[in-house]
Amino acid sequence: MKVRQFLRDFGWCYVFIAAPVLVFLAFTLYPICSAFIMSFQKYNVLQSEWIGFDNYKHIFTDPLFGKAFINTTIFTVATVPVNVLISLGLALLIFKLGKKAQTFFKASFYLPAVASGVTISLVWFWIFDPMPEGILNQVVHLFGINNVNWLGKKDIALFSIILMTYLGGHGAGIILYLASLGGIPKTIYEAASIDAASAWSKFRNITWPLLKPTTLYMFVTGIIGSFQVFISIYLMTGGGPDHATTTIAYLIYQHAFEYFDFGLAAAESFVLAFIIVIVSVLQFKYMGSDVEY
Amino acid sequence: MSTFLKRLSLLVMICALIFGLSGCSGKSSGGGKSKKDVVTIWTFPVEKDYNKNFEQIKKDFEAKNPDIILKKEELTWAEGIKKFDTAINAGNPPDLMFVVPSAKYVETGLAVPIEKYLPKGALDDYYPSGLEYMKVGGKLYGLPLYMKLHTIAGNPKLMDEIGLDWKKIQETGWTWDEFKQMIKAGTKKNADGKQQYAFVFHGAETDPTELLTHMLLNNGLTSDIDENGKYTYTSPKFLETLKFIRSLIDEGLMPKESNQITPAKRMEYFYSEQAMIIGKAMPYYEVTIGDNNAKVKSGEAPKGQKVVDFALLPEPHNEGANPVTPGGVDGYSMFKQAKYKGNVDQETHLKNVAKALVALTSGKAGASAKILCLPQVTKSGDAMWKDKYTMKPDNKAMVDRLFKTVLSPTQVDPEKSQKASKIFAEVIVPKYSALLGGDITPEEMYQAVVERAKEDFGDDIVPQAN
Repeated sequence: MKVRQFLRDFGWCYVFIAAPVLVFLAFTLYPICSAFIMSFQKYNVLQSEWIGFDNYKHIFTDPLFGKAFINTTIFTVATVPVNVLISLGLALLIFKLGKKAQTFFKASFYLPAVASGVTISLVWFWIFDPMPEGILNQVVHLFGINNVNWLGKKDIALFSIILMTYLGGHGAGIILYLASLGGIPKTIYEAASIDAASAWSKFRNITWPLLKPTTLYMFVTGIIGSFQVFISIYLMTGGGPDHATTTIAYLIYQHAFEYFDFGLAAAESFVLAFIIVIVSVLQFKYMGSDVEY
Repeated sequence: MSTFLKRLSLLVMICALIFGLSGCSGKSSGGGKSKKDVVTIWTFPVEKDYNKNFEQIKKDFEAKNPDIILKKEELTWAEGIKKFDTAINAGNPPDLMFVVPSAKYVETGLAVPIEKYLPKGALDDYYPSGLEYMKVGGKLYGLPLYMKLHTIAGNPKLMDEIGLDWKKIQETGWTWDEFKQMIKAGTKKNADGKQQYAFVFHGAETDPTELLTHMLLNNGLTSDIDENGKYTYTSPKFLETLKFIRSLIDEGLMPKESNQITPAKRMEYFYSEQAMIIGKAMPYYEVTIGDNNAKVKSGEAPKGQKVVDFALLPEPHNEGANPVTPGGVDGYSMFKQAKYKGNVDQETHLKNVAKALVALTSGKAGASAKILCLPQVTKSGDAMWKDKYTMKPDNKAMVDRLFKTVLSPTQVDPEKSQKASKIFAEVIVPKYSALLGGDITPEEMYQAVVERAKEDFGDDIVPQAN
């Protein structure tokens, strides 16, 4: 009787949840478990060999993994905070405009999100043409700077990839911030105006704290995404020159699909996942508290 | 009503699930109930008429072998090899793949040594030089479709302008020092006021280290592993080669942005007369340049491009080294699946695959070599096509001359070959890009190669420079 009651109350819920759960089990959980087992093996399509923690030991003694980790960290630190601030700045500017103008700018900034990462990378590869006729070189030439080999010099290549992220891809962040800005009660700003608060004071004490949940979300997703940067590296620099732009995700790809060392690649992917989880947990711990007025 | 809606939603959900899961099926449709043996072939748009030629070969083959069906899939050059790498590591490669066998494929255990499956006497039709390139560790894993050669080529008009006797060079060749001396004047401002370079060789995208491998061949380092199984890139000749390449940039003969010059950029410079000599170049460029000239004349080509002629030139070689033309083959390699499921037993299937392999690489298949202006790999191909080549006589004579200096590959133990390939991918390729960009010196690159070679090969290396 109790079972029948339970099924009557919740049966349909479980039926509808079953489909996505099955998909998750088949296409997410099973591959993750297989990859975890593979990370302890020297993979061969016919007969893999169990090697214990050798792959993990190799990762922590491999200077190339260390280099990739440094490059990935530099990329993350240089892109995520700056891109969050750029998105916030643009959202604040757009928020003040009329409805039609807001719609126009929201659509314009979001448009690049429709294009694939491959298309955008290929366009930027063209922009970064190192010869005098390259677009960016023609621009810097106006300021008296000679040809720059944007993707071909060790000390500039990673910065060029970072610059690419500054100049596009803010659409989603702008939409989120605009929605959050719309959710801040106007009465709080009115109360602050009565107290003769300056614009900066209002931003610092009202806007920024109340946008914290959105900012946290932007940081967490931004860091998860930037730690996995791959397409632009693969298409534009191939990890070079001299591993100056080799990131962890690109290294995983190389080990898997160029050297066929799937066991090592699987181990590296779990190490990357672990790093991302730790960083995300720390972010939630130190930035996760809500602000209420 | 509520019950009806519940039942309707359940029906919709089940249908959605079925449609979703049916898309996950790994097996392709068609031919499921046939008793015929299906041979799967993955190939590329090898030349402009390859589709047509392939279909004719398929039609003739299936008429002679009614129990066999050839199933072709055409891949793109950009991602075909990646798709194949994924398939072979999933245990499910095609039976025939348009790829030259290499140690990494042999190590998977799915590459098939073909000699025991070939029809009797089939190999007699093939020239031995081509077959050598389809071997790994002395075993034959496929058959060649055409021989290929890579060299350099120049714009006769620009070479004449600086008084370079390129016709003599075509006959006698040139050393590295002669090369630098003779082409120096080719770096200047051209008639349009744009920068012209004496020598432009791609250093990005496809095969970015090709100039390095070409010059190593022309400095006596014909293989990264020698006949004694020793790793050779620790030799002082490797350092010498790096210094030569770096000097081409330092002396202004090549652009300092060479590590970012793509093959497309290189051709763009050739078409706009900003490059006097380019690399790499192939005999087929006579056709592609001819096509571009037609576009220039009809106004379809980008602004700034001109009608240009082209002359094949030999690669320069170091003093004391033998001149070598980098060459090789392209062809089909044979593979088996980890879990074979076919309409016939696996041994019969492999024999059928071998029959298809012969059909795809001999006789009529020689049309590809003719179109690409390359030598035939079979006697039957020679008999059918040798009088049908349309290449200009000068360039044809040059191709024949260059082929005399193409070397056979050194047969190497697959495990050592894999180690050498890893050093190449992990050290030489990244460092070479930095060398071209001026970020590291030849000595620093050489040292990095030596250190890695010592780690991987121990004492099995050629003595290094002091």
